[in-house]
Amino acid sequence: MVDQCSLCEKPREPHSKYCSLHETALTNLEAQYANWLRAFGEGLSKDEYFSKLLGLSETGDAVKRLITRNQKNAVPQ
Amino acid sequence: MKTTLIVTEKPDAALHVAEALSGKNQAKRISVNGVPFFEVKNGERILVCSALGHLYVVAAKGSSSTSQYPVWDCSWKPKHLAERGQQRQEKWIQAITRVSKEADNFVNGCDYDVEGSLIGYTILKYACNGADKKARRMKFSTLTERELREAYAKAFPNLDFPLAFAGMCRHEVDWLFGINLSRALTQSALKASNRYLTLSTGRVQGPTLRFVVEREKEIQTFVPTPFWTLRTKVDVNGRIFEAAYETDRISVKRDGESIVKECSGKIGAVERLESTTYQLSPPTPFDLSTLQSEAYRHFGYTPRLALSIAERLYLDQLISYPRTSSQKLPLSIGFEEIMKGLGQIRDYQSSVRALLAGRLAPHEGKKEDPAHPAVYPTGTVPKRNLSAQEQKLFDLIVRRFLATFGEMATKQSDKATIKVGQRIFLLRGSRILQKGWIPFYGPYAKVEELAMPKLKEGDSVKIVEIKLEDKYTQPPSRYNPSSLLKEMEESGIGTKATRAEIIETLYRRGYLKDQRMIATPLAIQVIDILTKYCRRVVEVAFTRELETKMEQIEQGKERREYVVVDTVDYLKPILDELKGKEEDVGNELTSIIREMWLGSITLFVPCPKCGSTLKIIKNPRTKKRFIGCSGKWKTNCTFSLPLPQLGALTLLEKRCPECGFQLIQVKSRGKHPLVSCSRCYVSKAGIQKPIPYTPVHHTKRK
Repeated sequence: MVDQCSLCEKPREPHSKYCSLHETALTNLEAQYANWLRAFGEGLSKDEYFSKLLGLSETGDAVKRLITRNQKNAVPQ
Repeated sequence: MKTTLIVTEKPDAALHVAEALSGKNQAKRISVNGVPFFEVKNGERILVCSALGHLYVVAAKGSSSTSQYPVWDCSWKPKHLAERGQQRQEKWIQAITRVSKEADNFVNGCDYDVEGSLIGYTILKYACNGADKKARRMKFSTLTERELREAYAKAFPNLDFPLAFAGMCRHEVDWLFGINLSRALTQSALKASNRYLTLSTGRVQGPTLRFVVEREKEIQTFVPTPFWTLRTKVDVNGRIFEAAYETDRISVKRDGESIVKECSGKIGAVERLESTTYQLSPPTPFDLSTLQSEAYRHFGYTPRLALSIAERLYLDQLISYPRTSSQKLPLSIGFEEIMKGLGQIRDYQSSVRALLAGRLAPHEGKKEDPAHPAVYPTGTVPKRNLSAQEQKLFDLIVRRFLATFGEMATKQSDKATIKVGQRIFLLRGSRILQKGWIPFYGPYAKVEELAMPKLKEGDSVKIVEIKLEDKYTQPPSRYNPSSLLKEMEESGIGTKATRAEIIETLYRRGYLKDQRMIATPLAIQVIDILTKYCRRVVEVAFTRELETKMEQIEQGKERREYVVVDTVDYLKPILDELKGKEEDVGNELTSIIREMWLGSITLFVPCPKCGSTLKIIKNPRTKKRFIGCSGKWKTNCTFSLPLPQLGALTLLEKRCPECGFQLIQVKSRGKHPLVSCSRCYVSKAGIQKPIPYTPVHHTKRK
């Protein structure tokens, strides 16, 4: 269905690919990257950021699902 | 001789009332149609009967189909006419009605609160032919002889109608909310998915579930932030102590590494020594929610379990009425007498002796309850062996009571500031100077002491170990039954008597899992739908507003009829909208219901032959059920296992201890649930040769 979230069967938010839960997860994921860069230094790539988050029990399931889907969809270098 | 009929709430209470009023004579147990009554002849004839909780409940007027909604007309009906399987209640009502014909006077002797007033009122009004108008009301907080005799002698001339009407109003409003919203959800789902699943919500249930769902969403969308801490050990005169860096969190890794480099193996100097002395107040007496919270903290008892144990202790005359909001202990309860009673129990002898040597003045809290004092032990020694759970809760209540009479405790907190180059480290210690109330609370007083070395300013301290530790911010904690109850109380929803039960209902409905609460996908979906289509029913504000109105009814400042009419006016447009959008609501629920249905028929262990999913299948021709392999069409796998053909079948989330296969449970009416393993059944019966089940294939369903 066109109106479904790309990650689950819930209706997506206006102007977004995702439902409200995954949209919030995406917002948090993007907002926190700046803090991680400050913490680990500018050398931390987004891929490293995502890998670290996937390995942490504190990371929310919706965030992990978003990262996994983005990694799968990424074009191989 | 005139006859008085006293209605109590529970059979145990009826016996205590009868014994208390019998004086030197023995209370006689009589049976009317199999229902026990107690007869006392002490200058007058007193008959004491008990209810079985509510004998009358709110139900739809006339006959209403369970699929029909909205329903606005309700009335009070005998429970056996409103609900199935209540034959015992029918017998009870008939017996009370029969006995009431012999009575000239009537007394409501149910527990003194909204529910007790309502139980007594409805029985007297409906079962005793309108005796509510001439009935008196007993008020007591313990079931001790002294208090019961006094409560009977000084009974109020009339029933506490405001309290009973507030109770009626609560039941009616909750019924209007529950029946209409739950039917709207259930029927929408049924029409869209063709599968029946009871979906319930209610006036308090909705906002309570929303707390957990909101928390669940915060956890699911949580992105941790890294930070670092320093684990530092210092050598002070050959003894090793743990020191803390001046800031708890270091947010940049490089900064932490610099500190480690700068300070490793260095010698610092004590720059400043500080000591603070402060007092620790004794705990306040238990109100119900604090008792439930402490019982959860120390024993892991859910609020509902703690309340039910407390009620048993109350019925055994060991403690006062537990459904109280009060943290006050009035002088009239007789502190000294209670202490002397407790002094007969060996475990409390020394505490009682110490307390009786001083002035008895409890350290009361702020909360008040016009009906009852705080929970306190009556001083009665248990007459039977208490169960382990009862013993623990009784001990907690007694020690808490004793501790409230203790003196202030005094604690000293010490801090040494150590300078290493430009960096500051802190050494902390604490010790109890005066124990005060602490020993009286026994194992439940957790006051930590931390050893601190003797130091003076200028002393040298060597850093022997300094390590940078990776840490991450934590998502918000999950609710547990105790913290959710606290949240409900702070938000002003529900009552002290209903909160614990509402939490249990959320578990029963499949909305919550585990002690550290996880909101299930069904709960998230239901709350999302309610938020989308009728946001106000899951918001705290409206529920709190209704609670205030019900309190006003209790105080005689508001009328029950107006509150019920207001509720109908409020719900009507919401129900109209839900009815109009039934299809949309149903469609949004379909996927989750399908998922739940699949979950209920899909095993979490894979097929031992081909690794495909195993499912419960029903043969359309023979109607017999069995476990079959879903790989049949792909791999030609013919693996199957038999299942019991009778009873309700549930797939358990447990494995067979012998073969590791998933266990099933079958429940037939009137019988104990039967848990079995289909694989072991087959191999033991010799129907099929056991196939080795390699644990490697086991997958755990998320």
